[in-house]
Amino acid sequence: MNRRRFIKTTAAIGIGLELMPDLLKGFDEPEIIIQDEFLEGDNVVIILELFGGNDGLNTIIPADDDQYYKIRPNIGIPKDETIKVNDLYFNKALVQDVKNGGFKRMFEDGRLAIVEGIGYDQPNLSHFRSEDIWLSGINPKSNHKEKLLEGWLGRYFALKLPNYPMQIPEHPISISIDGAISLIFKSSKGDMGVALTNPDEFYKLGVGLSPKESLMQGNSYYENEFNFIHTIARQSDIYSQAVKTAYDKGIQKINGNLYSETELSQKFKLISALIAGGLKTKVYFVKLSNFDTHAQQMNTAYTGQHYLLLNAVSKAISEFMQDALENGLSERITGMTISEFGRRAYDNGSRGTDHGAASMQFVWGNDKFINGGYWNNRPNLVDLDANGNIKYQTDYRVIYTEILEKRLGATPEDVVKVFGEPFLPLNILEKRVNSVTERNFLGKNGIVISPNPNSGYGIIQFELKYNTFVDISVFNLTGRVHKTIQRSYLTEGYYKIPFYIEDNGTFIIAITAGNSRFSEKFTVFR
Amino acid sequence: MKLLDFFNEFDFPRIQSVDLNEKTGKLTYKEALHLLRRISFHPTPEQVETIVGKSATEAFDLIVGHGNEPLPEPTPSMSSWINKLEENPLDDLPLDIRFQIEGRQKSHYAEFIDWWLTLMKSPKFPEIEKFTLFLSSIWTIEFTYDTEALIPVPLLYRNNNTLRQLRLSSYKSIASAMTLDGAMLLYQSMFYSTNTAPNENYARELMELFTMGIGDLDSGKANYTEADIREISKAFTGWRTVAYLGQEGAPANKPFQTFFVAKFHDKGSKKIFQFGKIDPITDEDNTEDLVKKREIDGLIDILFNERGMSIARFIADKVIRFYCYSSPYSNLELINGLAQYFVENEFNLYKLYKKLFTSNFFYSDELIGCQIKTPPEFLIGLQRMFGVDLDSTQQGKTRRYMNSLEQILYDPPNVGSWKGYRTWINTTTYPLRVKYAREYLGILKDSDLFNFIKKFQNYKNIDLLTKALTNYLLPVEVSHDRLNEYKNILLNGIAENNWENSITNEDKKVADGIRLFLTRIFSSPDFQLC
Repeated sequence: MNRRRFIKTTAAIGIGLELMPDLLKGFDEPEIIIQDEFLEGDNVVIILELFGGNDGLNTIIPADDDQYYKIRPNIGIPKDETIKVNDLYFNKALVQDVKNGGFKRMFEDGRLAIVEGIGYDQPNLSHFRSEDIWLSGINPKSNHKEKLLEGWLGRYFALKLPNYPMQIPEHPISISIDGAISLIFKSSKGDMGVALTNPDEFYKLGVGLSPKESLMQGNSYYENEFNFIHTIARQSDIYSQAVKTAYDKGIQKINGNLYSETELSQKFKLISALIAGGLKTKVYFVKLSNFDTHAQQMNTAYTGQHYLLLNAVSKAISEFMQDALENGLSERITGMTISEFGRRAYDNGSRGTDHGAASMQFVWGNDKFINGGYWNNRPNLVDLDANGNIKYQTDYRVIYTEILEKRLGATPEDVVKVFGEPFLPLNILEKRVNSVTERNFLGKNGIVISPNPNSGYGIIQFELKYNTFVDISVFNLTGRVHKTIQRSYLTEGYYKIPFYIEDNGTFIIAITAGNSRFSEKFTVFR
Repeated sequence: MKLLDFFNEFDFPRIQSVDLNEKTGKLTYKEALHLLRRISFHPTPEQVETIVGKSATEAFDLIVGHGNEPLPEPTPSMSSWINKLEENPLDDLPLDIRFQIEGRQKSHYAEFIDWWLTLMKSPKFPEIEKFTLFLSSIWTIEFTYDTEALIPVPLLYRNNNTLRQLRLSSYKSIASAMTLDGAMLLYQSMFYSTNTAPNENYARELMELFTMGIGDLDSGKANYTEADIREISKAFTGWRTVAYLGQEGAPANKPFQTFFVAKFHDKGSKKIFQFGKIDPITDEDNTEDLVKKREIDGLIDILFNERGMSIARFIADKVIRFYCYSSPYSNLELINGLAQYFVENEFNLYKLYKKLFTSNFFYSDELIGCQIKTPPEFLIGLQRMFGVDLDSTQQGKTRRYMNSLEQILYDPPNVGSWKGYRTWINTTTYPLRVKYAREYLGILKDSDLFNFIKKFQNYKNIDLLTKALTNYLLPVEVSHDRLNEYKNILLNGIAENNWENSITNEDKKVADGIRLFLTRIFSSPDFQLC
């Protein structure tokens, strides 16, 4: 808690200031957080938004599935036009003309995870609404008009920086490489980060803006708003200098020659320079548009708009990761793509596709800390939803949860605060640089579910090694919680807890204590 | 921890005063400035002097007028296109023709916004545009001319004029007028609404965003159900606007006017809320005049009869945020007080404004200087203060700068309008504001600066001048220390007893001192407040 804030407000409720004489100094210095558990740790997350709706089906092509060619007579990509990588068929844009083998090499090295079937319940087919759903992490299917004005990362950062913006981290916690800050970083406390496209311009704008006037002491509306503006001004100054310093240093260090001349690669080059220059920003956000390929998605040579976009993506990411590897920074990096939806399974008459639902996304990083490979099942092209779209397998927030828990220090409780409900990660990411010691809180047998499979009734057995608050919940395979069995403080000992599941299917029981979790799958059929 | 929650609450203070009784006495300089900052885009120094010494009511009458003033004229260039229909680009036109039409409409849009900004810049009484902007911020239109909802700019122009004309009238008549407004019909897809497929967009937004809100501000009780939305959308079927050349069913020679298509109208009965009922109509009665009377005006009547207090609270809250304090935490007692008065006065905005802007509440200390300047208050304010047009260096600069400060007129981020309050100030927009103010200073000549200074009566006395300038440029009196600092910057090395001479002679050193002083003022946090 900020002690100075305490002074200001207790003054307002009439407690005598003489009680705390040593803290009566004015607010002359900005409140920069020097030491904070959350801010420690050097993980960097990069989020690349593929705006317009990326056609996952033509990105990782199910070339062994005859149904694919039946439903895509116009733009189905023939097997011999794809690039085989292990037992997957990549759109050649992901490999061709990309130095260092592009996504093929990354996948073979185990540095790339392809997660199939990411989406959410009752998909919304409007670009802007679905984009907002992805960026906010909220799926308000009950109130389709509910305004989504905050982002999941915005909410998380606001949670971890409770006195923001009166107390700020040394460096911007997030950067949108864009003219404006993405919704993903907005929160009730304001924008949790900055937006910039050019570090020199950003510097010129912000430098020297720290007001010469001091903060005000009182609590009138005028003084409150004055102090708010003062803080933003100060923040602009501090951040413009931090970014410039990091950029000037970093641009000398990185291997600029690795990067193509495309706009996207140049943006990633900027990010690389900032990281290499010592900027402590935790999340970078980049948006690539024009994936809305209703028409002319692809020409007869299997190139065209979609090809160019995927090629740009593969280039930027693999060039960046190569640079990071050479700089010794690759272990810190984790990236993911997001897209407001995939495209319809059937192609349309205009050599394109219409708005879809679930799609695959990429997650990438250093092979030490990521479990690369192909996740989930191949898309089911027969059992489509009512709109002719691919059904989702994993809720998009499962990937977000993984990022939050394994890179940004979130506990499962934090995740519930951010999304309003818990999610179960898939374990695509390995945990890295954990500043909180994790204790194995269950005995060596972990969780035992019997019987398994069962007809709905079962018993969970486990040994609890010490006293702690425990959450026992059942999740379905999409990663969303199905029901919570118990949440309570338990003392060490052996437990046998009965449960009942109404529905048939495969589920996962997860026992969570603090930020540690054990899970076990089981099946119910009647 | 309860105590921590209490502290978080303090991040957004609430209005305490609720005294709506009429303020007695003559307005002081500070009070006159406060009034003018809130109901206009900032007064010129002369305007403040005009208002000082008047009573609150006299001041209000002079500044606000009566609402029947003649509407401003369009520019000659605008006159060439505001009545001219074009083809619908979505009608399978060749791509290059389509691009041409889109290009024209985009440049018309720029012209229209520049025109509106010119009106805002005008430092005349009565103040018209602030009240127009208030309504435009509620009855949002998002201009688009390249996707599915194409809104020809002449419709934006008409929408703007309607709001201007009705800015001080009954909120009911505004609701009726907006329901049949061409831009609104297109934006809210009523243009496609038929009896077989009524479009629910507008019905929902009418209630949720434009009149009453989802739940009553006091009781929290839901104001309407999905069934109400469905019934209301049925009542609204059948209306179109002449938006394009060769539009099917459009009456001839009535460009951009709203018209009724009987075959698309749902003739059945409609049941709204508890008592609201619209009887079924015969084919004979299914005419423009009758349906307008029964199912547009009549429906608005139902909304205001059954949800009068909810609507009054909702609008009172918006009025308080726009003109008094935009903090999201409301004072229910204040809202209820204003709402009650609003209902008793037939939802008349003029009367509501008069009540509010002559009240003790409005002039209470707690409201002085608490509003973060919106982009127009900031940019137009600069011009009002110093008299030089930003656009004099380049046409359209004010509009472009306002866009980059994140308020694009007729294009809010979504139908819910601009969030406002502290969202105007972030690490992107704050540096831009300072940059624009400095740039503006750069286009002022030394002679402009001297003219400005000499408007302050006691300019020959450096102490009095410093005080007068800070009292004009900043909303709240500054501390002695700050005043001293500003005085020294203004003096710019000139000895105090030489000031009178130097300024009478219009010494270069004085001009430089004024620039340094203004540069300093522009980067003070309270320059962003009004």
